Formats: sequence, structure tokens, C-alpha cells
Amino acid sequence: MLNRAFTLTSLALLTAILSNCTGESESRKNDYSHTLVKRDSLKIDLDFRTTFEFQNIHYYEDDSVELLAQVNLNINGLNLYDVSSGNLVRQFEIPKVGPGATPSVSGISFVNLDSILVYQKMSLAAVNIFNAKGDFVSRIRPTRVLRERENSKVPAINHQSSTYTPAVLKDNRIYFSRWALFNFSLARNISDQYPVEFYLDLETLETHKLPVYFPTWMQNSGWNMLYLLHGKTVDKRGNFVYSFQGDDSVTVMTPEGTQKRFYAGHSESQQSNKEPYIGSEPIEQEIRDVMTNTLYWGILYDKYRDVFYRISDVPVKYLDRHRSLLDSYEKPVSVVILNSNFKKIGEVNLTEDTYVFYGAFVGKKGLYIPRLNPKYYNFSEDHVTYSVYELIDQ
Amino acid sequence: MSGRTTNIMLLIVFLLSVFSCSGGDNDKNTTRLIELGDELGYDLYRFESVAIINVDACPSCSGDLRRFFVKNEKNPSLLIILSSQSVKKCEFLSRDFEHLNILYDVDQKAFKHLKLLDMEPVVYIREEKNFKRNDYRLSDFSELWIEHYSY
Repeated sequence: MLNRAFTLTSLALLTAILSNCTGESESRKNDYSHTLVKRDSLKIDLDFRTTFEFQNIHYYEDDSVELLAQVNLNINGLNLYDVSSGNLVRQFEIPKVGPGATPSVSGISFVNLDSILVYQKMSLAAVNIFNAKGDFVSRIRPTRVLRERENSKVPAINHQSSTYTPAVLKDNRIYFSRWALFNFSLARNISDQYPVEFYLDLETLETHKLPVYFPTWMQNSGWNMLYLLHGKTVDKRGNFVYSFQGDDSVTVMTPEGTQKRFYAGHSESQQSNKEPYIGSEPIEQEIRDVMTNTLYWGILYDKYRDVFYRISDVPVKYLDRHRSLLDSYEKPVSVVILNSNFKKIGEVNLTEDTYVFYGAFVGKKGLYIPRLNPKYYNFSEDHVTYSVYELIDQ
Repeated sequence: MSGRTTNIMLLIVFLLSVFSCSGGDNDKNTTRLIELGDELGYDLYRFESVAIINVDACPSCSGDLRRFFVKNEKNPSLLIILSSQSVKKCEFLSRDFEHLNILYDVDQKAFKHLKLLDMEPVVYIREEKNFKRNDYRLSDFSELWIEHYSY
């Protein structure tokens, strides 16, 4: 009898342990129709010129190849990795002088193997085009460029072209996001007059503002800067989806120019309370707000499965050792899944102390999320390991 | 005692307290800085100035930091401490500057425990036994030239 009880207990324990060791336990079942299950991993070895900062990566795929381009700021250049093997297939520097000179690369648009558009930090005076071998191909010279301040003599603009804020080439235009340089905690700056999106028309070579503004509920109040930074993605129907880091909803602009809002936030149990600022707050308060509130760091479109993944984090307790906004790298990562109609169909919390919110991308196999949490037990400067999550109907 | 005398005395007390407070800050900073030097195995009193840079605060600012290195390459009395969780990044940043005194603080003690800096770089200038803190913006840092006096 005792033996049987022991065997049953052992079996129960073994089952519990095994169910936790399949690697799929991170994807919890819940009230939603879909979830993510870890199916594979990808290890990328880092050479001596590459550090683990995968904040600015771009996925490219055609019939023959699946590539991940990493903007390598150590060399002011690009690393191209084969997504199937993780091998570095090409590394090249962007020249700082001479033809194609881009002294401080801010990002790229990976159009195809013959055309990688390379952008200079804070300037759109020129967009240089390189091929995937690193050869300079040609240059686009915009004639009239939007300025950060209307009356400024310097044509500086904080345009974005990174993973979650891609510069999108579409219909002979490059669509840019811009992050404001003003003080976000001052209510007067968060007006309905500041367009956060613009495009460069490649025929006229002029830039034009797009009517995309801070979310209405956030206008005319000051906020933590990180709440008001935004990113975007575009689906195969031509819908642009804008995601503000502090906003539970996303804004969708249809190809016809109509704007709609959709709830794409965490479930009630993980919701947080974002309070506006009255003037500048001490840095300690800003850090506390970032740690104790959810931030939606970006949205990715999965063209293979026609869904969206909103990469977010889970609030944690503010601790005295939290000294900077960089401590947000330690927060657990969570993914909200939207279907093609922008309806929420899933919400998955990933294993704590493993993942980080930046550097995710979508490939043929699924959603790739890097194990770059500073607390990750196997963290190394010599490689970046991605977990590959598959979307399943549960 | 007239009101005016009282006001003057109050002013003196106020000024004394301000000076003693700022002196206190310098003392605290100096103690922490020396502690950091001990941890890193360096006697910081050998240097006239100590620049501490939070490398991780701006992944895209390597160019600005290199310009700062170039500008101050001939200053033997300057110690640069790079605070970053990445040894590789520190090595890559400093590899062309063998004449500069550069240390790596990979445990980020200066930033996380000793609170000698926040996100932006700081330079501690030695004034006799104390080090005085000077804060800079990273965007201005590339233009900063730290004077070296040869006695």
C-alpha cells in the first residue's frame, strides 16, 4: 500500500516536473484562443567586433534566404546573419567619408539584397543605398526635409529606423517615425499639433507630415518620456499600426486614411496606473513609474500567420537598487497577440529573468525573442540565443 | 540686536551651512571614489582628474566617446573609468587608445552601488585631497578637453 502511494506520488511529481521541463510551460493557457509555444532556438555567435546589443535588427526574407541584419554601432556598419544557421554571412562598415558616407548610422531599411537604405542619425540630408555585399550603390538626396523645430536653421530631425520603429518603403515613399526632442513632462508640448509620423516622397524628394498624433487621452498632459515614444508596423493590407509605449490601445490607419483605435493591452490583472506629470519629476520617480507600469515596447507583424505581436513587459516592484531606466531590461516580457482584425486573441507571459523586450523579430518559424535579460543564468558576451515561439490555436 | 544684524548673522549661518554641505558632498564623493579605486586596484590620488562614463546609457554614442578619447589622449593625469556590463564593448571602445589610462568597471559599482554617476558622464577634478564632481551631458562630452597642468 505504502509502495503504491509512493509510486503514485513519484509519478505525480515526475509529471509535474516534466510538464515544467518541456520548454512550453511559459505559454500559459488562458481565456484567449491563441498562445505561444517555444519550439526551437537559434544561437548566434558574436565575433570580437560585435556586442550583444541587438536593439536595432531587421529581418529580410526572399525565396533563397532568410537574413537578420544587425546595425553594429561598434563598427558603424552591418552584420548579416543567416537565420537558419545563425552564421555571420557578411559584415561591413559604412564609410564615414567618401562615397556613401554616413558618419553615424542610425538605422536601415532592408529592401532587398541590392538595396539596403542607410540612414544618418538626426539627418535626412542624404539616404545612402548599399547592397548586401557592402558596396555603395547610390544616394537619395531629399530637397526639402521636415525640421524638428519649424523655424530652425538646422535641418535636424530625430527620425527613427530601428526594429520597432522601422522606416517603411512603400508606394515610392519612405514612412518614418520621429521621436520628439522636447520635454515630455510639460503638458504644453503634448499637443494635438505635433505629428509623430512623416514620409519622404521619392518622386518629389520632399517630406510631408502625416496626421498621426499622441493619443488623445494623453494630450495636454505631461508624461514620462517612455510612455510617449512610439513604434509601428504595417500589414499586408497596407494598414499602419501605431503603438505608443504607454498606451493600452493601438491606432490603425487604413490605406484610405481612416484612423481607428483597438484595445491591445494587458489583461486586468496586469494593468497598471499611469499618472500624468505636473512639470519635471525627479529621476527616481521616472524610474519608479517605468518599473511599476507596463510598457508596450513595440509591435511586430507576422506576415506568415497574419497576426500581430505586441511586445510588452510586466510591472515589478520598485527597489532601491533600481538606479536608471536601463533597469527596465530586467522586467519580465509579455506578448499580446492580435488577429488580423486587431482583436486580442492571446496574452503570454514569458519566463522571468530570461528575455528582454528589445531585439525580437518574426521569421518563417515564428516569433524570435532573445535571451538577453541581464539576469539570465546563461548570459554571455559571446553569443545571443533566441527562443523561437510558434503561434498555436489552443 | 538690530534686525539687520540678525539678518546678516542668519545669512552667514546659511552660507556656512551651504559651504559645509557642499564640502560634505565632496568628502563623500572622495571617499566613494577612493573606494572604487581600491576595488579596481588603483590609487586614484595619482590622477588629477577621473572621468566616469556609463557606456550602457547610450549604445549609439561610441563615436562621441571616441572623440573625447582623441581630445584627451595626451593627458597622463586623466583616468577614464568605463562603467558597462560588457567587457567586450569597453575593450572595443578603448582598443586604439593605449596611451590613455582606462579602467573597466564591469560590475558597474560606480553607478549602481557607489552612486558616483547617473546616466550622463561625470568628471571628478582633484583639489588637493578632495575630488570635486562635475556633471556633463554626453552630447557635449565629445568636445570636452580636460586641462593638464605640468608642475
